[in-house]
Amino acid sequence: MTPLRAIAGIMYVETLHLLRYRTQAFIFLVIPLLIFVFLAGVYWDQVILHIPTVILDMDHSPMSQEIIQGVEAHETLDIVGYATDYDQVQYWLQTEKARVAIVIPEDFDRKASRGEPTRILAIIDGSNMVFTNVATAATGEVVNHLAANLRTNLMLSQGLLTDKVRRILQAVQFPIGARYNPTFNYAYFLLFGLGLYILQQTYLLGMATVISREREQGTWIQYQVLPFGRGAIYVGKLLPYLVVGLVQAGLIFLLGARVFGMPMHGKLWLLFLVTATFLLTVSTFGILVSGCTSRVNSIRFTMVMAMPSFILSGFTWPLDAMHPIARTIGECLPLTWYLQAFQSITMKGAGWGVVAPHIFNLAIITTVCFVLSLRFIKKTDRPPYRLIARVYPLLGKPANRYANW
Amino acid sequence: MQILRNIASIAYVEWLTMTRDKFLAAVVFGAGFFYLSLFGLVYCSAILTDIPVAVVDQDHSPASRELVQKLASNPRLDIVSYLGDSQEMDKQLEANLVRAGIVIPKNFAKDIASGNPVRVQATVDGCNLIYAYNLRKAILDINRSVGTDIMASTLVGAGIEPARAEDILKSVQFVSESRYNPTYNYVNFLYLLLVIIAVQQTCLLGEGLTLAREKEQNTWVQFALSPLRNVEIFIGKVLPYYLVLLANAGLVLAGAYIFLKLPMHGNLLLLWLVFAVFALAIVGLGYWISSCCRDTAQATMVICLFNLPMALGSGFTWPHASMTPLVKYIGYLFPATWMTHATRAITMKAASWEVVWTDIVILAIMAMFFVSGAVISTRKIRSVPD
Repeated sequence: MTPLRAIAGIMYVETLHLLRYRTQAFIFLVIPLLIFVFLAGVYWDQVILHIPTVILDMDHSPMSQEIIQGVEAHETLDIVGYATDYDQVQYWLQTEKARVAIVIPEDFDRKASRGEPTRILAIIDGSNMVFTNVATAATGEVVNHLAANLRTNLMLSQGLLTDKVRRILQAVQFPIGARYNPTFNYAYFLLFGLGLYILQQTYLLGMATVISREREQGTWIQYQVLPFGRGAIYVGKLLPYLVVGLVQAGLIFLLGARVFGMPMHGKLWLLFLVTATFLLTVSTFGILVSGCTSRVNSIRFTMVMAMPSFILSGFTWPLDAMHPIARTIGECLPLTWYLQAFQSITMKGAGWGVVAPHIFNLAIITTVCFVLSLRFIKKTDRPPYRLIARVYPLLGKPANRYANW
Repeated sequence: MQILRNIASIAYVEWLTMTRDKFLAAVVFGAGFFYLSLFGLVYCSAILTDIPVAVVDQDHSPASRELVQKLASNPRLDIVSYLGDSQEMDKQLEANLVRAGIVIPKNFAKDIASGNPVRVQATVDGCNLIYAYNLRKAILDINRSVGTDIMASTLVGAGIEPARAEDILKSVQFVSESRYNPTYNYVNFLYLLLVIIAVQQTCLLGEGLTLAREKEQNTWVQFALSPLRNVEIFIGKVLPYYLVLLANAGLVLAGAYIFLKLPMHGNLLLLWLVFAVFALAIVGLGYWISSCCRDTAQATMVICLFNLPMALGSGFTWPHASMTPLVKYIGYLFPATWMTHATRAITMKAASWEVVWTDIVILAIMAMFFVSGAVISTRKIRSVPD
């Protein structure tokens, strides 16, 4: 029997195992896509529009009307009501009937047209920063527009010419363009990252049982006596998962790009290469865990280890802003490098030069896991009797019970 | 009396199982603290500062250098490279070396002096919106202060008295206040969600195994044949987890309050009430899941996959109003949705009973539903097939 046929045989057995446990097969095969679709539903609007806004107009003047019209015309802000006093504004903000309150003070019109200082207050609910960021920009736009008009009038009344006034007001401008994501689209930012994190989770769940299951059933010893070496066994056991994982990743990309309109620039072969490397890294980690403990414990362990990986990956809150300990842990995780490479390729269209260091890091993690797995994988579920026989005499305990092992 | 004794003995056995299984004990007692300390380390700086920025100064004049200094003095920005042209800036943006690039055009000083409009182009990397929003805010702040200075000098240059010029520029001031979280603190925003999800998951991971383990080890037959009532079994089995969940939540919140300065403005008694109702729903759910699963491995898998959809479907970060209706209604079915809403209102906004009573009532209904489901499921799996 050639090694190739052996690999094919191991693959076949592994596929049978994969499909045998119905729940596990369902979780492994279907759940990542289902959750991805769910998440796409979560970020359905992609940008925040229609933020409920309450207005407290204590002036009731033409100019305050102008502000209200400005708020109404802004696509991000929706006026949901007019408050009569400040307490009501407080109450609306507290009960989340409104996320933004705009307070126009008394005598606003009179003071503003005379050129006396006056101020408009925008209170923004800071408890949810998704609203805060969008609402700060939107209210700023509305009020700045009004302020510019007002200044124009004041300058004209000072005898300046229209053209001069325009030039003064536009003296310095900082137009801000958000490269790669011009509309500050939240789904562009998060959707793929979260989807791939879930793929990692289900993939690990599949991998976690690869060896522990065999050991639990007493069949791992059969693999040990095969004349092909561990390489062939690992390859045979990994390949079915790797193929399924790649197909799933492909489906997630396809769904994301075609159905949900996510950006997908960059070279496909590079994306494929990075994804395959990442899945390989995760596989070796799964094998390492699977080889060291029982089936249940390896499932628990992989889950407990992998759960915080998204937050630690620096995909949202940047690695640079973390405490050095958290940052170091984050840098040891494959997801960190994969998501960075993925984002660079799909959103920025980055080439090999940018992505290569990330692939290199993934390769290092793979190697470390692989070497550790060669060293630590247990052959059977028996306790490490040889070790016990050596250590017990040192502790002054009888070791002869284990002499036979 | 006998009922209480039965419950106590079942709870005692469950407590023993929980504390003797090393892994289970680690998950139930330690995992919450482990995760939350880890997340505390992740978000410990809470406010994003020193974002790497590139500057392309094509003017090289005193005025442009002054502007660069203004940029550098903003705490959110850290100018890491001074480049010759914007192509280099594009490369650095692509390679994630900088998160924004600011191009000061040629003739910047000359145009300002002659009163011609000047455009300083700022390009922000939009891939990570946490960077992008912070950068946008910082650049707008600088724009406002620089713009006002220059406008003032031009107005004076156009023959308007300095005092009058100041009046014109300060005629309308726009004050934007971020209520409840004035410093845009990320910990205040996100940490509460992590606390609730972590506490919930560790409880579910412990509780979800209770019946599955008995089935796996064939010890369930003792319960199946005993004369104990379903309610007694249920209460006895969930009691240890219920108490541990409440203790964990209390300790974690206290830790977050002390070490991360998480706001805790509202009524603590009300907060405790919300947690008590929520915990009831969670132990009910855990017990129910456990009764449906074949073995502990299956229960663990099912529970582990819940956390992300629950966290994001809760509307705590991305609001329900911007989700597709189906997902929104699914989100309404998670206890965490109402729980996170109520706790945020209480801790950050000092909300009273009138504000959060709907959340508490919905949680109570869910708790009732899950608990009855759990008790009924006990009956179902107690019937021994022939």
